[in-house]
Amino acid sequence: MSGPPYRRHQGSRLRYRWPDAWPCYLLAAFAALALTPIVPGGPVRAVLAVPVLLGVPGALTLGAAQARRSVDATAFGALAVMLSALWLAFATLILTVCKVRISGTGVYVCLLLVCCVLTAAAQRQLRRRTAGEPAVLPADGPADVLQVPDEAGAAPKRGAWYAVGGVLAGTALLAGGALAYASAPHPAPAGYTWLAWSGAKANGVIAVGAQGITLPFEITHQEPGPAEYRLAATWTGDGTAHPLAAPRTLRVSGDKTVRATLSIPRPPGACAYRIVLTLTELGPAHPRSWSINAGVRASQGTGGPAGCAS
Amino acid sequence: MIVEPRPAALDATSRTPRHAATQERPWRFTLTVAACTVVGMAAIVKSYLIAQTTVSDEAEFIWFWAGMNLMELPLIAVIARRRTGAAARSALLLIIGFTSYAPKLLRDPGAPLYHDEYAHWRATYDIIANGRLFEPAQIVPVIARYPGLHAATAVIVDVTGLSIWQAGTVLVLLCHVALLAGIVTLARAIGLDSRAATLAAVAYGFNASFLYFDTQFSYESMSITLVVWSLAAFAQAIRVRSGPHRGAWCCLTVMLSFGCAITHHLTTIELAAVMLIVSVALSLPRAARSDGWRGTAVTAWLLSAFTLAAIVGWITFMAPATVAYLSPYLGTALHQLTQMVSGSSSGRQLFSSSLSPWWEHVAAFGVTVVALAFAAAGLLRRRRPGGRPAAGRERALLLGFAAVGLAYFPSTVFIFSQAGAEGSRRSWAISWIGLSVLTALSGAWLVDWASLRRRAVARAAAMGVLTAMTATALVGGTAAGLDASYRFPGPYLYGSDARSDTPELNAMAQWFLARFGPGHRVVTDRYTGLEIASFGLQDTAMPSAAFPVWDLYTAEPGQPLGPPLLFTVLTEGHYRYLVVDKRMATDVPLLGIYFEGNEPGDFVRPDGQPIFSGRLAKFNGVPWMSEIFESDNYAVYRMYLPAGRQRYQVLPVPLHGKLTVGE
Repeated sequence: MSGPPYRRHQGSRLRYRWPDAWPCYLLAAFAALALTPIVPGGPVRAVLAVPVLLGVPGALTLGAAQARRSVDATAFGALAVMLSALWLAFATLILTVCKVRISGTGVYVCLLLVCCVLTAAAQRQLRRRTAGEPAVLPADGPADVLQVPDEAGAAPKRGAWYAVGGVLAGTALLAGGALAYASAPHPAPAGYTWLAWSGAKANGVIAVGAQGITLPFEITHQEPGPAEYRLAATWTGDGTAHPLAAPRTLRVSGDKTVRATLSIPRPPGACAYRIVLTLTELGPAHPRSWSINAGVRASQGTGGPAGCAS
Repeated sequence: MIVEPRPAALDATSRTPRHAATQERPWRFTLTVAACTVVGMAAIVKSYLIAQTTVSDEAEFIWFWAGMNLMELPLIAVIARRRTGAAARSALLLIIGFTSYAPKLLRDPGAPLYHDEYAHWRATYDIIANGRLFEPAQIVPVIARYPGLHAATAVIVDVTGLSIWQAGTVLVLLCHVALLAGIVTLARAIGLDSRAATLAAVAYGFNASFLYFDTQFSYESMSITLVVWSLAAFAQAIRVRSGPHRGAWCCLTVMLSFGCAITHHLTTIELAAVMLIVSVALSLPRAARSDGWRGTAVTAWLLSAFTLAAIVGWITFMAPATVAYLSPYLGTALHQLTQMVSGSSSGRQLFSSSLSPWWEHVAAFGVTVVALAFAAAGLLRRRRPGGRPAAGRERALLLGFAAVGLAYFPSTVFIFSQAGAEGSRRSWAISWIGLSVLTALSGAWLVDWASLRRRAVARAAAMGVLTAMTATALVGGTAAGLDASYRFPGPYLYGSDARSDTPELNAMAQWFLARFGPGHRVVTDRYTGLEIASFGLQDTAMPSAAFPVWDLYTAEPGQPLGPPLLFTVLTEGHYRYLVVDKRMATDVPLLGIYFEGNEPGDFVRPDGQPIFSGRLAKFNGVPWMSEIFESDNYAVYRMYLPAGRQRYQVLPVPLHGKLTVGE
């Protein structure tokens, strides 16, 4: 009584069985990559996208090349990953040849087209095998050395689950080690201090107009505790330092950046002046110091080069 | 028809090993192995935590190798058991694959540290930013023409939203694991059973490049896996009967070897060489004669010719600079070896500046002895009646790969030459493919032989010797590769690629980028340049005899800077910034070079002081330079080129400014 409906139901299931239609399923999975931008970029999206991106094109290639059944589960997975990685590179080459900018979308469309072709080829191979090729290997020897039945252990169908187990166990161990290392206490990074100009980029000696000029700079103290410094400004031409501004003492707290300026009037004469800012640490027996310099001169200097050195 | 001879490892003995008769408790056994693996991983983490605070401490090595041995030896023991199933072996090998990536992952979990990693990071960044391949590359210019790795990484970044480093890590990790699976597939195609084939993969993991060099984010890491899979597909194409299956494997070989050609030059050349060697073996009637052997040989030659054509064509049309990049190494190495043989040069002293303990050095020599012993045992085993396959494809394949493996031993001579050491070490990743097959044959046989000893003491002693040899290979193989400064974290070490990255350098590079934007031409030393050219997104100078930027640094105070030619190149090349690491004046670099390998060799005086001592402050007095940044160890100068005749005020004049802070 229940024969016909049951048979129809079984028939519809058979038509979409995994062994007969796996390339189409994989193609659908690849097409679904278009939905992943819904998920915020980062590890979560990577968990969804990487297995597809680094699995499907290669698996379809193996299917199209009729090599899927020639390798065990581990080898199939590994080879699929490598072929997929190659397809990513090939896709960028194809886009380059077509003079299309390489982007996620461009590569996705290119790979989708490639996957469609590979799926058609793989489905054709599946149909040919189902139609004519014997399901078991011929008696005169295995078609492939990897199918030599000389091994003990799990049945071939369970091999995939062993491989999945190995991947999960290996990933868990690796992730556990990395997390343990990341969560352990690490030595504090070495601190530092810097002094740098921060204004507009100068291209040569800076011309100073009648209003003078203000040169901004910054002091970054990237260490845990506060520090005291003495800031001095001088000008020099032949190596001898001449005072330019009254020195300042400043206290900078830990991990802080202080902004400061040096204002100077228009310098006399037509020569250039080398302005030197020096920051000196206060307190230690061997104080460190930092300095920066810049060349300035009057924009329309008067007088000859009498006091100038070349 | 293919006659499948019994694999040698399986016919080592017909008796059942004694341990097989004992009552086993599988869960207890599994839990013990799992516990060893977890504890081993914990010990490795401990070793890295110790290493963080010491320049080099023996404790970090002890913890590390205790962890590695604890993690891998039990897994290897289970793989070597005859009773373990093929699928379980594959799973255990996958665990080894993942866990053996731990040392590199813990070494630089968050950012590149090795020299080439910076270059590939920047190349990937440029693809993402510009959307184009073949853009000029920084640090290692030739990588621009081999986009396989960074193109794939850029796509993963685009699709997943991961950072470049995360995407690269995922890709390299998968390549690392796939490499072992590829060795198994290749070994099985050569004719080994699953146990010997899995042991071959384990043995391959003892080569000098496996743990660190071939796990870095660099094109070799991807291409070595492609080489192995190309060879696996090649061997499969030879082993299967002619027809669609052979066609399928030929197609895969073509695809994989072309992929290799666009990824890395040297490994593809080596791949072509291996394929040619195997093709020769397949053309020897004495080794290969069987049904259809001529057709098989033709297939092998055609595939080899394609691979050779692929790499020659790629170099000729896409990457002509490769020849200039590679040729000095081989030429100089041969010259140095000739000098050593003639006695005019003493050659290179091994481990002269190594930070690793003496027992690692001993193990590094020991691994060659162990490999030789296992390879000899494998060859002898094959020569005995019953151990030798009949003439045919299997014997020819084995002969070809044995020849490749045996090339490892003469290649070790090059390690004594300064120029040849690097090339020699890199060739081991290829020669160990053949060597691992040979050693696995004898390894499986020796395990059986040991387990058949009647007396428990003899059995334990034999197993102990095998375990000790395995541990020696594991330690020595890695010790023969990269130095401890690459392998372990630790305090700053001047002149080491992997320990030159400091928060201060990073901050300087980021300050530079934020202030001036990307793409400026910068002159600096090798170690500062890594960060400037990668995260700093600047274009650093490539010093050479034709562009001797070191002349800027070596000039004595008061003397004119550099030869005129240098200024011409600097001016025409739009080099506008000079970054000086002040430690150049006081420290000698660990790697022995300040800029590149082609720099003059007299930068360190006989008294051990750098030639730069007292010569770096002169830049503050150069009229066409301004110091725009100074931190504890770095100074950045703006160069106003072409240098004009700028006149500076020397006589005292009244000039009064004002300092204002925090307003």
